Amino acid sequence: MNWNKWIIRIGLLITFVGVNALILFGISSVWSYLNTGADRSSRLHLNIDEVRSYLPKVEWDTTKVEGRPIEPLTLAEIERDYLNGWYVKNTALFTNNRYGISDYFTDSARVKLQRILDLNKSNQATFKQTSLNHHPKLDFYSADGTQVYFTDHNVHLHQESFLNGQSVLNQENQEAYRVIMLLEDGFWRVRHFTKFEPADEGPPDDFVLSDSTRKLIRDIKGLNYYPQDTPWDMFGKKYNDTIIAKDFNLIKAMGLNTIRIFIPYEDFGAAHVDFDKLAKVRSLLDLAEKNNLKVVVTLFDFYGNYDVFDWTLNHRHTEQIVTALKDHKAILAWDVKNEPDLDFKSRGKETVLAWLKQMFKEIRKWDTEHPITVGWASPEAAANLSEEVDFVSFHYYKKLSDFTSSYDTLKTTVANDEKPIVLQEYGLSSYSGVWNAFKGSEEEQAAYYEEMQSTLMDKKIPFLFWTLYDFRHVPKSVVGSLPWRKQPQRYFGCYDVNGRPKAASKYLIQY
Amino acid sequence: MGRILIILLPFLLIACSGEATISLPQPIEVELSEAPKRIYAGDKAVISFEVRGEGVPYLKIDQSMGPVILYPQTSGANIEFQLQPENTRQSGTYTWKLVYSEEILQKGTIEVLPKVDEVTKIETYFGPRSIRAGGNDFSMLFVVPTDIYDNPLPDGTQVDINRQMDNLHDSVGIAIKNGYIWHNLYSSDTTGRMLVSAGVGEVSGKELTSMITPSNSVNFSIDYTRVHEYADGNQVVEFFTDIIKDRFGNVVSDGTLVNFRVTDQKAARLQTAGTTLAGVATGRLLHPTEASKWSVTAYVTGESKSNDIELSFRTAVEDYDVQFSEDNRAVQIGPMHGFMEQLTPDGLLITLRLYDEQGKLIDTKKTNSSKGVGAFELQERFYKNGKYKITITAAGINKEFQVALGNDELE
Repeated sequence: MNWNKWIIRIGLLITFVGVNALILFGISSVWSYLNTGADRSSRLHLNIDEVRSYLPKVEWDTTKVEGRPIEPLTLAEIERDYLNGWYVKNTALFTNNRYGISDYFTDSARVKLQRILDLNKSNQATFKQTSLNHHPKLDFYSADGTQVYFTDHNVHLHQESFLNGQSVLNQENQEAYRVIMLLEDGFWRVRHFTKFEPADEGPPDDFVLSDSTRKLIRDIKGLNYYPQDTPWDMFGKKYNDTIIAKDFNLIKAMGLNTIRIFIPYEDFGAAHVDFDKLAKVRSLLDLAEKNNLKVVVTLFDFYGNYDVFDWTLNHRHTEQIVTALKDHKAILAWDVKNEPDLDFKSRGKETVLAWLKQMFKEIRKWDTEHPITVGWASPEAAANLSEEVDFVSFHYYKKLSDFTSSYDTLKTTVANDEKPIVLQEYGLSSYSGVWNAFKGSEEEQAAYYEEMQSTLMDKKIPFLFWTLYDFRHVPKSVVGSLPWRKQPQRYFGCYDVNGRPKAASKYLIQY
Repeated sequence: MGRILIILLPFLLIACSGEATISLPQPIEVELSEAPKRIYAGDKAVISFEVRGEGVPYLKIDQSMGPVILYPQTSGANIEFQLQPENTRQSGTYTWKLVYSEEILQKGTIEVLPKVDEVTKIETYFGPRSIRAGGNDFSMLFVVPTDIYDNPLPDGTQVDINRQMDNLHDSVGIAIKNGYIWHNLYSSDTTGRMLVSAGVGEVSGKELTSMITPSNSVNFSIDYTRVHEYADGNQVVEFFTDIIKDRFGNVVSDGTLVNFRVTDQKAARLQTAGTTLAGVATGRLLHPTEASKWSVTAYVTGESKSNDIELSFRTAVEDYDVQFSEDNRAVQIGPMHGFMEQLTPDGLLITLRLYDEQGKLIDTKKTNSSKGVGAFELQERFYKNGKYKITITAAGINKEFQVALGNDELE
């Protein structure tokens, strides 16, 4: 048929034109790509947004500088380049690769570092290290402003050693270095870097839980608090202190004395804390104080990377939060991390515990008054670091019948009898629907609390239950998007979505 | 049956692939047999232990630039770690730790000292390289002598600094502290070069230079020359300074800027400037066009000034004629004669001011003389017929006329 012929002809024609168009397009894109050069600003490195990803605490001593007094601006430049030098060196020791070394070490110093990298490469040794604080004492700054000498004292160095990728040692060192740096084409570069025997620093002062604080902890009757409309996003755009005030009134009327709140790490700006959010926390604390409520502040919510290279950033976050809030009378304690034991498997138990231990020291550095704890996900996990925490906190969502024995086991594990043990989270969802075959109910929840509260009363266990309200919506980031996980999470409240007291409230309201 | 086995096989495999049983490392006991306390850079270090029990420990060594891990060499119950010479080149404290199953069994330190007998390099930094005479200003010398492995020498090592200045040679010895020395080398009272070098024992560093430039100038005097004393607006007066020096008698640097400030009898200010060459600066100004009295002072800004000098100019033109056309609309001034009856040089400024009957200024016109003569034209389209007052100023001489401007002949 003629029709077929025409169709084939038109088809061929269109294909031919199309293929040609594609070829031309391809050639032209290659051509234009090859003709675009770097623009001037990128060649001169003018538009680099500097992101500081290495922030150990540096405290300069410039009280006795020979040669010439130091200008604050120059000191800031020296500090920046010195820390960048540490950063590229740490990275190089981890990868045994020389990237960036030439920017922060002079030719002769570079050779020495490369010799170490070569040896480590041939031995398959890698190191993950970070310095946590520096106390450089500037001794000399030359008249023409191009040479400095300083001694970097009390450098706390956390270091993980690996052989063939296997961890062989996890340790913290205290080091001291003599450093000569030169100003070369705009960079302060390390010229000499010599380790010397550090002067011994005495052990840190022991923190002793005061009797009044211990009493406050022993008497904790409270709950984990989120506003009904903004669970897991308390200090976001929808923060409203009228709602908080109303809720706090309710909590007070329930006869409770403590709440636990959460500070999300990334949301609060990580290493550069958002002051607006801090102001919101402060206003919440003010309201708590007005209602005679004490607050346990949980840090690092939604943070799960305990990587050594992240530590200095974590520490700056803590420093800013703790120093900003520690003087508030409503603060009862710092909870370093919510349920860190859940990250043992993915991040390594040793890494997580080392991170926590270091964090205790950091918080203690800024706040010598408030006790520190960790909200472990189970009584078994709460045995970890029970020596180091000022009081033990654990969560319990398992079978009610096993509670007493789990608690007793934990109590015998905790060496210090005087150390309070707090049940920091527990509760039962009253969810009844497709995803749990309509098994739950408000009555069951009430029965759970009836039994639990009497046990807690008997054993005099301080408690913080989960939670005040049923929620309308649970964000995906909390338990994922699977409906059989998400739905039950909505019904842990003592009050339902309409603010009506549920059956369980009878046992939760304290008289 | 076979089929069922095949179907079940993957499940069996999955079931078996759980956590492998970790064999716990056997505890071992070690005893240190040999470890040096102090060695020199580039020496070989051997650390050995006696081991009881099965298991191989590692030696981790923290040193200045970073950590390393060494594997042992075993012979029976003895294990030996060798730190090869190329890995002890860096001086400083080496902390070793014997590591076994994530535990530190033993630890100790080795002090690696710089290899003092082989100083090879003296790194010197000198600056600023340009200083002023007079003994207040200095160049700073910063010296880091190193051994053959680029380690700073130990504290207390003597560094000799030699200096050549003003045909004199002196030297000073300074002991190293923290691996370096620094020393301020002050200028003398005379300009020139300061040559400096540093040495340790037999080894010397390179020659370094600092320029000693003159200090601030002190007050100086000025004078002038001119062709004649007439205010002809044509010749140039030249002002010059004597040789400007600093307080130590050093001639100031070439190029020092000198400003000459002139104030005339009407308190008007004129200025000219010159830069010094061999200490002398010159400035030039055109003669005035009328009799004047100048007072001149020169300054080196912020440093010094000269004496005041006075000079006066006589008028170059004694008098001149002014001629009007019939309708008074064309005005010719001159010819003007100079101080030796010559026609005045071209360019003498002539100003005409036109006032109306009420004495209100209507216009100011300016022209320059050419061949001794200047002319104005007052056209009817600008200035209507009527009575006017005209004043003419040239070479400081004023003339006044009452005129009636008539019909323009040209139209």
